[in-house]
Amino acid sequence: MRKSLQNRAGLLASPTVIYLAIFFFAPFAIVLLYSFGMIDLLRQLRPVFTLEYYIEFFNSVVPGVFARSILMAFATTVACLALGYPMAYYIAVKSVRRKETLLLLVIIPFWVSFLLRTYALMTILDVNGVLNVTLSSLGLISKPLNLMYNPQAVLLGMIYNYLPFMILPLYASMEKLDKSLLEASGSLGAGPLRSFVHVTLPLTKSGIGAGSILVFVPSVGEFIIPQLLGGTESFMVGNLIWTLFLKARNLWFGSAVSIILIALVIFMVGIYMKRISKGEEMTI
Amino acid sequence: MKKIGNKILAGYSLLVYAFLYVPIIIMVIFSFNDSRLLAVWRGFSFKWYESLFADPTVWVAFYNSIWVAALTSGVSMILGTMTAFVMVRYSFRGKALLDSALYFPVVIPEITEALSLLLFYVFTGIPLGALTVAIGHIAFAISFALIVIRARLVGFDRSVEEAAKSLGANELRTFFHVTLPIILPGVIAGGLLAFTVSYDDFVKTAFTAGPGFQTLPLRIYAMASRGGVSPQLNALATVTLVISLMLAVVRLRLSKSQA
Amino acid sequence: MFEVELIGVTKRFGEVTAVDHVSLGVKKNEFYSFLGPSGCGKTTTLRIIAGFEEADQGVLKLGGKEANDVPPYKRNVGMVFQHLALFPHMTVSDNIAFGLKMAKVPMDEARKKVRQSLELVGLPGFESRRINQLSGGQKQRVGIARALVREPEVILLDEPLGPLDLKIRQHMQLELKRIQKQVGTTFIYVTHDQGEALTMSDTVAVMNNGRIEQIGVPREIYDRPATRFVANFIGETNFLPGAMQADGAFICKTLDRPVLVDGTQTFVGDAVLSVRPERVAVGPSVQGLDNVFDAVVEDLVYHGSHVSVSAKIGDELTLKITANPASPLRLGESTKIGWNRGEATVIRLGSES
Repeated sequence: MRKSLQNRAGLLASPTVIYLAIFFFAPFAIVLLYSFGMIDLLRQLRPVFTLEYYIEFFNSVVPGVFARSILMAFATTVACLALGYPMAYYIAVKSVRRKETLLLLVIIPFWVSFLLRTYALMTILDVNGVLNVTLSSLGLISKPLNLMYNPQAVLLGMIYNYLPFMILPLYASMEKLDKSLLEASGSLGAGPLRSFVHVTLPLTKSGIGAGSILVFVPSVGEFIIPQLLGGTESFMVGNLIWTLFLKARNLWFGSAVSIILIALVIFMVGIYMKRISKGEEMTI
Repeated sequence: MKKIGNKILAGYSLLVYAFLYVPIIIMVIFSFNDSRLLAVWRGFSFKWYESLFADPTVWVAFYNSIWVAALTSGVSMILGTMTAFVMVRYSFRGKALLDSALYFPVVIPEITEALSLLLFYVFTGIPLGALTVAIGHIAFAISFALIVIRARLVGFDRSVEEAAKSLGANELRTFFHVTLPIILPGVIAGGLLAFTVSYDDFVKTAFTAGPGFQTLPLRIYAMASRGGVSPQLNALATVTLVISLMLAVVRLRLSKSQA
Repeated sequence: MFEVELIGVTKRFGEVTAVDHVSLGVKKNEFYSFLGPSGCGKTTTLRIIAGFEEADQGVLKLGGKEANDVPPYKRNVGMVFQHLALFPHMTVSDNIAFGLKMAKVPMDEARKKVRQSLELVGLPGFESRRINQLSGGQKQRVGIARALVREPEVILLDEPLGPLDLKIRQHMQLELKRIQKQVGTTFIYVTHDQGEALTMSDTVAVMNNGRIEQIGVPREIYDRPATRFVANFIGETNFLPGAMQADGAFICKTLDRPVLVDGTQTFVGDAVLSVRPERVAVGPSVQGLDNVFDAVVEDLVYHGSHVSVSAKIGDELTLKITANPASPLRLGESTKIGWNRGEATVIRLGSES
């Protein structure tokens, strides 16, 4: 009977496995092949192997684009953490009556796509947007402000879209906080600031970590926000890949760039995973 | 002192909520602006909605978004349920590997998935269009539906299945008469999540739709990147938003209903 | 012929042997209980009979035929589950009719049977109620009705009264007994509550660590425990370690005289004497009993309906005695305790697992 169970498991799982193998993993293999020049213009598989596209990567401006993306992602993460932490703290620890409603209000933006939310920001920031029109009609400015198409607008857009991704894991880790620990800390002579630094902050480490990874990793490859809100100075990896594939049709170089991005993502997620398993050993 | 601290914190949170919601609310409000210029308020009007609903290309995009999402949802529900059963109830060699593999679509940056699909279609010579879009959406959505359905299945009390068997029902009948009705809310919730993921999708769709196929997000992006802000686009965005929210509310209701 | 028979049935879960070479036979129309502490294997044994676990070794026979490989839905065995496992998405009558539906019984006949079974369990008119509207006791009855309506040969009950309040539990015990007698089906009942097992059963199988300790009628289990475990698990008892001699007397290391026992135990060797607190007399009433010893009252606890006395004999032995509250004992008093030979049981050491 044991064998028939295994067979049934295999049967149930196989459609999904086959589907993903063909339409998720095989495509990545194809990207890999393209990046090594093993597929040619005529879409034939060739037994050649070349690193020229990777070498081209390092000789181009692309590493700079990567660096900029990572910097932007880092800035976004830090900003979301700074802005989101007090808010998560308020909802989890301080708010007593309306906790569920407040949490729901954080989740609702999740239900609106990045595209729509970024456009909503455009509505405000655009030269003809609400902010400019209101300011000029109030006589506060004589010429409309150029609020868009610069790195600041992109950063704002990133923070705007990713903030809920940071707040929710922070909230989850704070929810689990035992308030009596803070009371104990107080009774041992630590003021509110020291209690925060020595008790609250370390205990919410897991939330900080989870929120950071949820913001940082997707941010590096973000496309919509820099595309709609940014200019040439804010050209990020996502925009680069878009241009390479849909405009320049440079499938080979584009594949090399993509593989490097994927490797970067796997690397970052790997570090995070290692960190959490280490952290779990150290908790009581 | 504590009270002041709390008040500050509460005030700060209010500001953050405002930050999150004001742009969306403004976008919605100004879709009713009776003026060609976006931000100069002239009066309340439905005219942008009227022109939207009168535009056949908008309807086509809407129709495309909906049926691709429906297809994605249906396939994801079935495959997601089957896979959830395997992951929750069976153990086998390589299960951990399969588990990680199923999480990949959720973790990987969307754009890498989009470009890989494009290359796949280029290499295999499959012409871009509705089908290629749907295929890509499904590959992505299965993992999402799986997460939801799996959560519902983990807490499932199997003694009702044993009870059914003790009353003469074989495996298949037990599944259809007992198991499925009980997990159905979770399955549908998973399906709705898949629907939403497909409906809102932009990046993958942009890479795999080709010249002739349009969805609502594609249209919104095209209008925004070419023409910038306009009340017409606000109207389109608002309509899309309302549908997203309605889906989410149903999902919320379903996830709260527990037998 | 037995209705249900287990021959050398063994079941392992990894390193743990849950059921260890269990052999027993349940006769038709019996109320048969498996009694034992948590983890003793009684539920696993029940599940093997139901078909939800497969035995690693041994034979299971249902109605005389080997049934090891028969899937549960093909066995004519009904089951009442510990947490009932009522179908939450169905009404009471749909729950009960489910088995009939699986057997393709026509609808009007099914409806009639559902009505009859609800009357049998004392819930007439409950057909269209939803499961979440029922109380604990009512859910119990629906679970029983559901298993009964198919008229199986055997019904298995897995600690069905556990989650109920005391009063309801006691009432349900009587109800179950009544239903069983009325319908005449073989009941196999699993419980850790010895009071329940003793009051309801025709036969009790006491289990521990996957093994059968003793099988017998309730009186036998109580009065003549075969092993230390049974003596200790069922009710309370005093253990006096010692040995049986060739002359038929029991020598206890801590008593100055041999103990007279009834002649049923004829072995020689290490043994322990088991005598229950309520079988030991204390005070003037020991006159004329077989075994009388001097003792000092060490402790007295008043329990309303009885008094628990701790009586010390010599330097080492303390006996627990259940005495009449009217007995005029005082703390520290010297008195006599005693029992007749038939009141105690000798358990041979090495006869337990």
